[in-house]
Amino acid sequence: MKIFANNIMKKYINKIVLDKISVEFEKGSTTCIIGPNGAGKTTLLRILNMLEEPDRGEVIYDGGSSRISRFALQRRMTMVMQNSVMFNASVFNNIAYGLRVRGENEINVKVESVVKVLELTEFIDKSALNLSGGEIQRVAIARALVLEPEVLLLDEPTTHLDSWSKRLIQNAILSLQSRCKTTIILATYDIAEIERFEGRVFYLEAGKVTEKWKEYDFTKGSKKKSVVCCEYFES
Amino acid sequence: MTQIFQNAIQLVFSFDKEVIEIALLSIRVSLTAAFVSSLVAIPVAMVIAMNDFPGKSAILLFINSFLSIPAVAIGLILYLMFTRQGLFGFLRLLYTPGAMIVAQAILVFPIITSLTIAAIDGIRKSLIDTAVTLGANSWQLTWTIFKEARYPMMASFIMGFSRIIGETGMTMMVGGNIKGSTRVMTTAIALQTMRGEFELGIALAIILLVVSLILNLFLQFLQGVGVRR
Repeated sequence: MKIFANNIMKKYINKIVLDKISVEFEKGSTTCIIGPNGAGKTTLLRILNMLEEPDRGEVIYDGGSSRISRFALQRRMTMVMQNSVMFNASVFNNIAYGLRVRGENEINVKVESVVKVLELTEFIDKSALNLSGGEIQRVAIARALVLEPEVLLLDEPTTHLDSWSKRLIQNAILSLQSRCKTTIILATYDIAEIERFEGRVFYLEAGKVTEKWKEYDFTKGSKKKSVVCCEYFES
Repeated sequence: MTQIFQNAIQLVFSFDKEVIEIALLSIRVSLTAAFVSSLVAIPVAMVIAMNDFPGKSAILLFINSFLSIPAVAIGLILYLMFTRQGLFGFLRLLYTPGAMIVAQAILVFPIITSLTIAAIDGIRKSLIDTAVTLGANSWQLTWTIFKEARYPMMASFIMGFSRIIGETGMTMMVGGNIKGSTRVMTTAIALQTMRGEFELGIALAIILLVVSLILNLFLQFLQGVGVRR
């Protein structure tokens, strides 16, 4: 699905979180959004996922076809939150949740397949409330990947995780993308992760875009471009 | 005094017919009242908690202020409504278990409603967002919230039940404390004490305390389950 965020503005009380931001996400593309805490990355993802309305501007999905309902559009996307929370149910039922609400078939097969990829087999019957932080994040990723969404919004999905878990999650996401041509929009400040995903990188700073959106193309990879990003974070 | 207690304990363990009848009627009336009230209170609480609308604060204030309404005031109003000349006199409910159930259901309604609202408010916004982003429609979201809040909701039911099973004045006003018909544990204890016949009163008080203790143990267990989140 192609998404165009057109002149988006969002304000909380007196603070402008997003100020007239326009950006396009092509179908099947990967976009990394970087920026410091409070830059508005999460708010932008929430607006794209229709969890929040912008105060001004609009988000156009697939060129704005009026025949598709808001709910149907929302079901074509899914978002993994920064601090994922689990339903008071088993790991299996947490992963199967999205499939069940969609009334899909072969739930067991689909869940088992994603569980294997994310190495969650030993936890499958355990209560999801008793998992560690890393395990919770893997279940949250599994819960999203099992739906094979057209758009996957990821809000710092591997923050605070060990490198083994990070690698596992990144592999699973990249595998989904190559299989389903999923549009991936990733908010992160992990340079290694940005390089792993090899997509466009957008630079977002608190309140408003202080300069024109910077775009780095890691696919054509020049070390210099990576350094620009690193320098930004170090400063 | 020791003799009175010994006789009372004997009454409990001899499964005295009168004691058992009174205890069972108490539990039946209060359980029915709490259940009927929950059928209305839980959906009302879910609608209030899950939606933002003008006047929500006023409704919450209204419900919370009813938490402290004296039970005898409800008893008096219902008594006047259920008397022959009253608005609902034609129902012939006065001095029946039905009147006691109605009165207790009204008394427990704000308790279950406000505790259920608090339980739903306690569910993290991020959990609701998660359900939405995974594709839940509004009914599926409501069901998810209901399931997530099930332990605190059960706790609110038990707290409401504990409140009404120990109620005396209101129950006596609309029930009349008629032997074999509307005599429940609290009204029987009050009557036996006034008569100076303490054995039956103490026996019923022991049963009431045991019921209360079991409910509180169960409540603690439910709260423990809820805390795991």
